[in-house]
Amino acid sequence: MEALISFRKRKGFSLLEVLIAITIINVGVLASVNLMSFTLHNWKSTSSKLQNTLVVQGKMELVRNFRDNNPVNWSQVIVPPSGVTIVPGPKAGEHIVSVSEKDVNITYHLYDWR
Amino acid sequence: MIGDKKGFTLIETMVAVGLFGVVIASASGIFASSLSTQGRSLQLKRVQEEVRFISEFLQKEARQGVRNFQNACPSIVDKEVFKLISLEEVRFQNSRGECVGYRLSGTVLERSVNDGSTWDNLSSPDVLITQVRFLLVGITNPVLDYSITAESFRKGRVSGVSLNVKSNVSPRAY
Repeated sequence: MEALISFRKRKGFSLLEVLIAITIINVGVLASVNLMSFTLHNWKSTSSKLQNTLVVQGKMELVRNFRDNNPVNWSQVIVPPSGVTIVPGPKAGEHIVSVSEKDVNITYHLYDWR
Repeated sequence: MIGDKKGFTLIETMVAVGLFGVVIASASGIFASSLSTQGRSLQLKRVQEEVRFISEFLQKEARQGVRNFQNACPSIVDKEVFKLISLEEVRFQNSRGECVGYRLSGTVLERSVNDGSTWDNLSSPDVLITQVRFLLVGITNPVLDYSITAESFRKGRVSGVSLNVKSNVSPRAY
């Protein structure tokens, strides 16, 4: 009997306290694990963004090349590469060239030669 | 006297050791996976930086390439900008009048500024350039298509993280 009473009076954590502590630790660990996989995913999407950006730059290079070789009426006679739209801009001789490749969209302002 | 000594019983100790083992095993598993994830991120970053650097370098120089007048660069045909030596090597004259060349030598991208007499490494030793392809489209208004594949390389091992980019550049001299 004496032993039982002293056992009950022992100090320690209650089950509830332990459960709360485990939950808090778990949340922290899971968050950091998620953060790591999120980082890796971001690096991978950076790779495809880099690839697509270079493709966009290449298409813009073709448009610019065409403009330089047909300075007079390039915007009328050009057959734009796929993913390229050319619309007249607000200023005289200005053209807004939008180039898109998958998740990358870049808008350039291209002017006629004067 | 011995019976009065306070301490853990064998069962308690075994349970404690068992629990400790389980916790350590799962923690070290998480640690190992985080370490490999971090390594992979680093490899990706390295490959991306390498490809971006080479691409920007080549684009900037080739865009300002000039026609080869008065045979300033003997390996380039007179009055032309680019000369494809092979699928893996291209020559042109840059805006400073240097006869530059880019070529893949083994797994290193090399650059020359004296018409191919001497070559310097352009790519870093941490990254293998596994494939380079140059293609010349059009003669009167040349467009240089290129494709670069890089793979990260660390401590003598290939990591399997690779990146391929394709783009093209044309000189403003036209």
